[in-house]
Amino acid sequence: MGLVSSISKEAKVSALLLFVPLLITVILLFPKHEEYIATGDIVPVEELGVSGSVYFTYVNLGVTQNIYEKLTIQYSYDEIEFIPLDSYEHENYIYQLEEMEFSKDEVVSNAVHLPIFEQSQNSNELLYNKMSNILENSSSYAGDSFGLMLTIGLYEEMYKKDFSKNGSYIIAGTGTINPDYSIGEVGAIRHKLLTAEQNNVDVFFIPDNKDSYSGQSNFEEALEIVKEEKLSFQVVPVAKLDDAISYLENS
Amino acid sequence: MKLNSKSIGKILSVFLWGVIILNGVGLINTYLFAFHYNIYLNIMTFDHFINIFLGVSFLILVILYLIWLYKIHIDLNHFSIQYPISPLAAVLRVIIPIYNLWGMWNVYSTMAKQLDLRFDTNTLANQLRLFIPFYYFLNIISRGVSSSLSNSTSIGVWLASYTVDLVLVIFYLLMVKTITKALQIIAGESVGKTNEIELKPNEQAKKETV
Repeated sequence: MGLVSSISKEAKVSALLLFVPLLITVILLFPKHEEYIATGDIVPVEELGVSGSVYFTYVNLGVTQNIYEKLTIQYSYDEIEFIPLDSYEHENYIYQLEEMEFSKDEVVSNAVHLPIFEQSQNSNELLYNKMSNILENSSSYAGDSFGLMLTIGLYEEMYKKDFSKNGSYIIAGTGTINPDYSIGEVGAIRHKLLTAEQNNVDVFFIPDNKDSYSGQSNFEEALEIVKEEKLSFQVVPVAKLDDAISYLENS
Repeated sequence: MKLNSKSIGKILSVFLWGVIILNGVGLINTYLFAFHYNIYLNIMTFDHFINIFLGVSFLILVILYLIWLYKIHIDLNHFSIQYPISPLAAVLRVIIPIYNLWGMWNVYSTMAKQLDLRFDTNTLANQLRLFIPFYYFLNIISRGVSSSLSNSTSIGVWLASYTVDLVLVIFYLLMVKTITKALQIIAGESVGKTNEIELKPNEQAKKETV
């Protein structure tokens, strides 16, 4: 009692005032595990070391640890969606990221080793170097959804094409690539389409592989989003690499 | 006479010290983020803690500072009837955008001029005059760096922001200490006179009973 009364009034007020930020800090650091998806950007395949004119699309994706992270992320991005995660999903998130890295390696390998490219490349060493170069240049991106656009870029490089007609068109898209030239479905379609819209894309390729997947295909989902969001660019469904190449060659 | 700004001055000093410490820790954390990311990963939650604590403390600090500024002007106006800035005008000089480009300097240069008039606060006036350019330009640089933080992810900008804020808060503390000391000296004379009366209750009591 004597000690408390000997503390000056100013010291008491200061302690009380310092308690306010402390309380707010504790509240903001309260665990909040949610996955977030936000619009990202379109990136020229040239950035991957490929002499092509097309773009791949990325979105910002991750998981929040607490309320503070959620608020700062919410503040950082315009179009953002949060999906609550239970404790099991949260614990497994790190493994999912590792899986994404593995699938990226696989899709780059698929793209570089497609028979149309292998015919004109002399040795395995060249292919290996190409693959390492692409993986190194794409180290800041996770996932495999750039496979289709990477392959179109490699096609332009190999056959000396410029599908953008000297930059007159912005051609972007999403989708993985399989060894049989088929295009695999991907996630985050809404945010990829919104990213394309924000970047004034003219043509956007989207997987349409109803045979391989049950339920709604990426293209079907995209059609709904285009209508809902009144998107202005052309969405082109592709099931095989040929669909994209013949569209670009003939348009 | 008891200073109006005495209590708020002490509380403000405690907060300034707190913000200096938090800012220093934040600067170290940012350095680790930039150059030793593996170490930073172990203290990431602690860094978030510091960032939030610092941010909220800063808001409280601004409010305390404005109250202190208001109160020291009550004191200055009390000590000098001709003092040219009223308490409210002092606060407005600091908070109104654009106007404060002139006002921030004017508030303290006027104060320094006033302190210069007295022989016993002359040295403190010179000290205050020395701090003004640092406080003024650091304030402007801090605002510029803070506004570029929202458009930039550059680690250099983050480091610059923490450094400028840290030095700025140190200058605020120096100015608060100088002004408080000067006001205590001015008030000390009247306190002495007042104490003379107050410390002799028996004598006063005697007068009343006589």
